[in-house]
Amino acid sequence: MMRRNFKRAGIMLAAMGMLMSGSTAFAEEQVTLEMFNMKTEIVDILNGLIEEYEAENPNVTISLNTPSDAPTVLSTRMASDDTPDIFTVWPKASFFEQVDAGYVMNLADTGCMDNINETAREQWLYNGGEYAATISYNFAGIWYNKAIFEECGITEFPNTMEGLKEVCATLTEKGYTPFVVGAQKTDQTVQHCYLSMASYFNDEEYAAYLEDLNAKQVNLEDSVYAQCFAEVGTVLSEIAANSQDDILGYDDSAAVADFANGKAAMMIDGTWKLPAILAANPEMDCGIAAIPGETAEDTRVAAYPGDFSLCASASLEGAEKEAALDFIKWMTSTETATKYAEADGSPSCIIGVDYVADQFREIYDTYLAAGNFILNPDCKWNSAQITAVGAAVQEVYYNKDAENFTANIQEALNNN
Amino acid sequence: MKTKKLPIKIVTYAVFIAVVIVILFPIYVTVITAFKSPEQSAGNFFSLPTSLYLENFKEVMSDENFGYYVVNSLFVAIFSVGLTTLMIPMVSFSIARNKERKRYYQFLYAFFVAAIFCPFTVLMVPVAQLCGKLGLMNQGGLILLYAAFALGQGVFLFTGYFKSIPLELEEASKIDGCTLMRTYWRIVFPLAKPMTATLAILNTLWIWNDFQLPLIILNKSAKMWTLPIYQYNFKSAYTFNYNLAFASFLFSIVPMMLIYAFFQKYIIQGLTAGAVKS
Amino acid sequence: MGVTKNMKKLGGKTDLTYLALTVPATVLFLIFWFVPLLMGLHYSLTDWNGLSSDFNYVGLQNYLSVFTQKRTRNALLFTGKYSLLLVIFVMVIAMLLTLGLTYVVSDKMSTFFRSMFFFPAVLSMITVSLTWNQIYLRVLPALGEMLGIDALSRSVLGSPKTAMWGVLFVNVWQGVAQPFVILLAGIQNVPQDQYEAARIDGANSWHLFTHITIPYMIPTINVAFVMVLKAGINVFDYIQGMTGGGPMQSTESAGIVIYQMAFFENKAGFASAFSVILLLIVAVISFAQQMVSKKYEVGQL
Repeated sequence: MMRRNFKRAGIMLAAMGMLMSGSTAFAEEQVTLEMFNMKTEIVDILNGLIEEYEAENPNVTISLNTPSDAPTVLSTRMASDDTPDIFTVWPKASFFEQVDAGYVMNLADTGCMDNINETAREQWLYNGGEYAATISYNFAGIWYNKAIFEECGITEFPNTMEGLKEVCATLTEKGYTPFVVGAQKTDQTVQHCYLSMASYFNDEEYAAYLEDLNAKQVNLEDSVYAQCFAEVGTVLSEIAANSQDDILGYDDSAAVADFANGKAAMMIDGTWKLPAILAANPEMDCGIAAIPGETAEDTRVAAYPGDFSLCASASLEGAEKEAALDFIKWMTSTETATKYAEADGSPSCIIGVDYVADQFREIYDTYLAAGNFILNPDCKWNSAQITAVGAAVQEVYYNKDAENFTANIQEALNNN
Repeated sequence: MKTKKLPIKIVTYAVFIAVVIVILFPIYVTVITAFKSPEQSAGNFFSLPTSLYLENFKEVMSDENFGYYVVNSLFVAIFSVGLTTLMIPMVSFSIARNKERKRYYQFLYAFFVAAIFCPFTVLMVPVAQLCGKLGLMNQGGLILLYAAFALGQGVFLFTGYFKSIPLELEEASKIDGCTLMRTYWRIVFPLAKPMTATLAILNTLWIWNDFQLPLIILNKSAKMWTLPIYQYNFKSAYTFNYNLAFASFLFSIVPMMLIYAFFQKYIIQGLTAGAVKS
Repeated sequence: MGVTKNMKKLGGKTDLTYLALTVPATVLFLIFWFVPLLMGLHYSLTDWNGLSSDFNYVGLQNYLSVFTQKRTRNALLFTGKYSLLLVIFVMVIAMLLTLGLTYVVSDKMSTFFRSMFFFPAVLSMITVSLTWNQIYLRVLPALGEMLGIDALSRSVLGSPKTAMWGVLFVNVWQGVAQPFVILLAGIQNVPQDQYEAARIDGANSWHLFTHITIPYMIPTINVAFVMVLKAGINVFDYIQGMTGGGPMQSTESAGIVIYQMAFFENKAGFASAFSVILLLIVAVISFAQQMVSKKYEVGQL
């Protein structure tokens, strides 16, 4: 009996051993790289490109991994010294902490950055290093339903705030809800704040604000930019007044559903929502426009050269490092980037690629190509500030007035 | 001893029926929505589906790795529950029989039971680090983690249970010349069946439905995911189509619902019997 | 302990076997629970950001900050209020269901109700919260429209005044099931003859409940209480699945803040300290509750 028990234990141990050793086997000359992807909406595009790359480079296998809750997973893996070989990032404040901690390879002088345009490279220069090979831009603004606009006789998207108010009035008159706003989560509402900032700060005001932000001395009582934030608050409350009833009950996907089904004529969100809109309604005829400023000259967009950026793990060596760099170079080549742009539609940061999806064409030509944009202001905020700013926006939506907005923003930016 | 007062009976039955409706309402909504197309739902949310619309399920199952998710979930649940049902009675038996006379066992008991109070958040980051260093970011690691985390509640319930089992049978077996090991497998382990069943049920529910641990442990590739991870991922990608979302909810609900429908008598009896004795 | 001669001879070997039986569990527990716990305690004394390999020791600074910072203090207050309400609702409902099932409903029907009441326990918290989120957003407004109830036209999760109640309802919806089964088991321990004796002495139902039912059920009530308390203080899944802590940070529980800090705000040390505080709170309340309940307990555990 005793012996049989030992046997049982032995079998169990053997079974456990087999379980644990599952991931170690690989052939010698073959290089396998893990590509960790945070953008769920581009999985199919990436699979296609990877297949192509593997066909050209038979000794390299790239396994694409798109986990749920990717930012959590990435930071736990870095902390346990298990940084993925290649990974996508959104270069936010938290990314630079990962750089500081030494997990991200400096891609300067590796040839990976050569094909990326100056503007994009400059935006992400960090302590003299270049850590992310940025392939495409995204930007955000107001999505609008062209069919509804046409039906109501609105021929052009307004580029002044007064114009937008008139459009809302016309839409309401014709029985449409002008806006659908999905404000349940702060990571959505924070976008509404920074998008509006683009058109309400001029360069001088924005520079002064950034300086104070760095020192956590943001002053919204008597600074050159105090009025700018107050105006942003007014814009937000104006939008709230023209939205569906249940603003804070809607999350962003509920908003996309309502927008795509024609229940509302406009929605604030980014270019990255295009696949979701088209999936919800493949026939949708829509465009995206900048949030209008006081005057047409004020109007511009907040953009983000880094919608799709590739990084490599700092711990890569030898053949794996070579293969990873080669893959990034291949991804940033004009030829591959063109394919990517044609599939994804976002404006490219790669020199020589000029494909842009029809929906983005107008705003791209007017603002992005002309250099008339600011880097998304949330890139300068840490996660706690983002949550708090998002909550301040929610309060505007909830009260439908901006009375506490500037005070809340000041506290959000200085105390986190 | 049942009450004979009619008003009390009427009120109780009315309340119980209301509770049942509240419990079934979300299930009803999930089922009817999962079988409808978005257009049908837009018409009347509560009407029964007019025809069996199966596109939603096809879409949910169209994921090329769907088979992996099912197999992974089964694999992890079976092995971790198996491991816990072997290990916990052993250690609890030792503790129950020696706790009164030896410090070591007393301490061991307190040590295990302390885990009941420990929030998972304290362990989340360290556990990921540890598994990373030990090369256990895989199903094997997850199984060992579940086995370890199940110990607190398991030892607490089992030790109480063993104390309530009379010693005569064990002593008789010892007098017959059986070693303790033999006595354990022949007498004690079979006697503990109701409690073993209870614990296996509680742990299966927990492990099958768990989201947080697989999220941080099984993230090397989609082929490693369990069903809850897939479902969460699917939901984030497709909520604009809530018929599809509800169909994916149904996928995680149905297996548990079937098991429960077939075994509910044993499940509840097991739970009740186990809890009474402890 | 009746120790026979025969057993004495075997004594040494038996002790060894007893010890051997504890080894697998103890080893596993040390590696996968105790070591991570020590790591967590260690981090709680540092300013570790969760990423870098170096950090500084800051003593008890993190622990103090939990009580001085507005966000963590609010989270503690929210968690306290939420746990209190959860414990009250779940325990009262579970107790009422148990009493009704045992003393009112016929045996035949009680099997049916019993399996219904336990059913929510088999579902995953993530599924339940995602489903209810959709119900609050889409289904209840549709129901409200059908019945002409204006209050249902908005999601309860959309207002900072009602969001907590929306989450709490779902938590109770699912959370009653397990304590209910435990109480149901406990009520079988109440000796029937005591009731009859008390009846003859002219005691009313309330008296029977407080003087006989409750005292005999204390051990199982304790188990259920600790279970619900722990669920309340650690609440995470429901909130993450429904409100993400909003709107306006009105449903930020301790678990949510810890998660955010550890994984998004690079404050792993601070987050560890916060979670150790939670551990202490659960332990202290459970201990105090055991002490208090001992006074009223009848019979043995």
